Amino acid sequence: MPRVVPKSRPRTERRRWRVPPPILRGPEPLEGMGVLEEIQGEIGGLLWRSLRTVTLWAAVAPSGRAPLFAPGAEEQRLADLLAISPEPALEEPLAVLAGLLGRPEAARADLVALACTRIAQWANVRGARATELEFAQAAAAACPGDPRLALAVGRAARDRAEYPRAETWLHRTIALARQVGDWDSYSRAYIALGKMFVARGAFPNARKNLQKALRAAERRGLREPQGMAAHDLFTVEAECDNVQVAQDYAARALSAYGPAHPDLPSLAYDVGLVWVLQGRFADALSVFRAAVPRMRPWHQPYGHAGLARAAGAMGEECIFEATWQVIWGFSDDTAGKANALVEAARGAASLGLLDQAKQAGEAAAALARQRGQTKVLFDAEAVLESVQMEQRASTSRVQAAPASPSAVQGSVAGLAQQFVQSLEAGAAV
Amino acid sequence: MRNPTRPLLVLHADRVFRERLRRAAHPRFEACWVPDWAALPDAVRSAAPAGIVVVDPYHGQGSRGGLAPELYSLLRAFPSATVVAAFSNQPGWFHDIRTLGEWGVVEVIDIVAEDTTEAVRRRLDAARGRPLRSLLDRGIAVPFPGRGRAILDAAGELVAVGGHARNLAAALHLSPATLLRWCRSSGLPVPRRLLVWMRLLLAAEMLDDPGQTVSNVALACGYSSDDALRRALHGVVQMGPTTLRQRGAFRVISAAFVDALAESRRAVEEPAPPPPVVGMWAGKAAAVSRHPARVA
Repeated sequence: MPRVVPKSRPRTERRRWRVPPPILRGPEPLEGMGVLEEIQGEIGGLLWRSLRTVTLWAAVAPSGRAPLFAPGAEEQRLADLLAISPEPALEEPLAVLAGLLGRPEAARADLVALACTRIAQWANVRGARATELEFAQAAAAACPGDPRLALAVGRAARDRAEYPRAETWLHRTIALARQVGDWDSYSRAYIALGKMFVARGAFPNARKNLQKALRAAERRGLREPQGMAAHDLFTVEAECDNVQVAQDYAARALSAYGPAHPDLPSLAYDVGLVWVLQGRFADALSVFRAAVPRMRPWHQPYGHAGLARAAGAMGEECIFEATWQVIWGFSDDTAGKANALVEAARGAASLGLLDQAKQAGEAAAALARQRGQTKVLFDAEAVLESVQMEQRASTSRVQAAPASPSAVQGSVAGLAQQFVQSLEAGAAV
Repeated sequence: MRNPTRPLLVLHADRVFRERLRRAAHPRFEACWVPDWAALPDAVRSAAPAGIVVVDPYHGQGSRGGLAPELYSLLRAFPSATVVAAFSNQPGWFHDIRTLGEWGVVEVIDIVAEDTTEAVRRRLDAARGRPLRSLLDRGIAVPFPGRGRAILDAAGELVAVGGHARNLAAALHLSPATLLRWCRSSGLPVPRRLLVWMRLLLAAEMLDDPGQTVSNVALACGYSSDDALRRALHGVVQMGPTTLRQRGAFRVISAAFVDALAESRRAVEEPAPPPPVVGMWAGKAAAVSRHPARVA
């Protein structure tokens, strides 16, 4: 009897993946209420009506769209648009969405999605997060098979701390990206999931998702997602005190980003901060000095905070003085000024400048109290307490000496050197 | 499960819109016109609680303008009522929309653009599952994974329409087997049991409304009689509707639901016990693997 060889599945056959259903609504009582809350006046009303037009249009199958809207609705909407005369950035997208009312059966889904995306971008610039989310979702509803649009919704929901909603959209992105072979969106969706779990403090889940992102990006040779995933994995491992693993990820992120990448200074700052917490002030100082001039304006207070702390601990009085002046020059409204003052107080205490430490600590506490930053307030009070007890401050100065030599330390110095070289090369570019 | 025709109470002066509403509602709803605000509370009280009320929020305001205060009173008197506001262009309407949402209106029909049978039908469909969904958001303080929350939302919307586990799977574009697997992995009860819980939660929410009778609540939630509802409640919380009302029906049932969820979640987290060793391998050392490399 001839042996029956079981047929294996042909390689070309693809496994079917279920696209998970997304969550479409947040906690607001009426659809699009967030738009009316963020954008006041008639323009808010026009945006709200346009949003509902798109969601209604997208919810109906293309064959059933012809009788969807009332006759004359397009003319009425265009008249409203003319009467309100919104910003130029909104005028064209709103006109496109008004066109849906006239011939809903003939409207092109990609153009509708583009119009919604432009409104979402406009809202993002204005800081109107709910509006951004609603229009990003409307765009994704108009083109339900596009993973990039689903990714934008997931990110917007994550930024609004609507985590279950973000999770469903990001899982949807992963499934859609796998279907169409969009590996960039695939990796970025896993990165976004990882970041979301980091924000929630679920580090094992974050690690799992980020590793998937890194693997996918490496397999497809996608440099930017590779750098982003390694960067976030560095953060996760550093939080979990896995020093050597964290350092390996930092080196991989540095290599993937390259010198000209705009996120390189942020990576350098994160690495420097971890070294500060480990007491490796010399390496941290060299990295901060190279990174701070290239950091984005809104990150500057944090960069100077690290610089002040490391310079103080290393006894670099000139650098500390210059940084001290810059920190005091930030406006009180600047995010991160309170953190910077706390670090400046620590740096001053390390240098034995107790009056300056007290001054910065008190200012930090007052600012943190005013802005409701409980953790910063706690840190500031701890610094003030240590300043009051001079003995403790001097002890901390002794502890500020570099940590015990080890194999890790040698690699730290090498990594620090690589960072400085990359940042200087980037600055030259 | 019974799925009776639901009442659609309409308080609106626009005859053309009323006719449109009647066509959109047929045959799932039985449309009933209400002449004025004074007659509306009685109509809501006598109608089954799963009905929908469509009102013009500016009705009877005339030259005074602004939202009718009677609508606010109605929503305070019948907090479980599903109210949809239908309006055309009014000065300052965009301020009023926010107020309507805060009052408890669940959906809005914009007559300027949406005065078609298809659009009105869609808006009515969207309104049906909304009250239970928002209650779930507020009342069930369990952090679900996104997939679990999506299933829960869909179940909340389905139960207001009346449906079975297979309808839930269809609503989520899944096969029944995938839905079952996803429910288990998300720490939710199996779909059939989940829908039973949703019906009980819906019933509990309606029982908290003093304007509703037990039989009305039972029929609205798909039970054949108030006895069927009573039996279902006894099976879960060992209480009848009257006792439950006194103790806060939704609070008690949602607490029981949270306990049930915790139990489902424990079942997911705890590994299943190993199958008993029987037959020729009983009492012998377990075979590790036939592959030498794996043993190494």
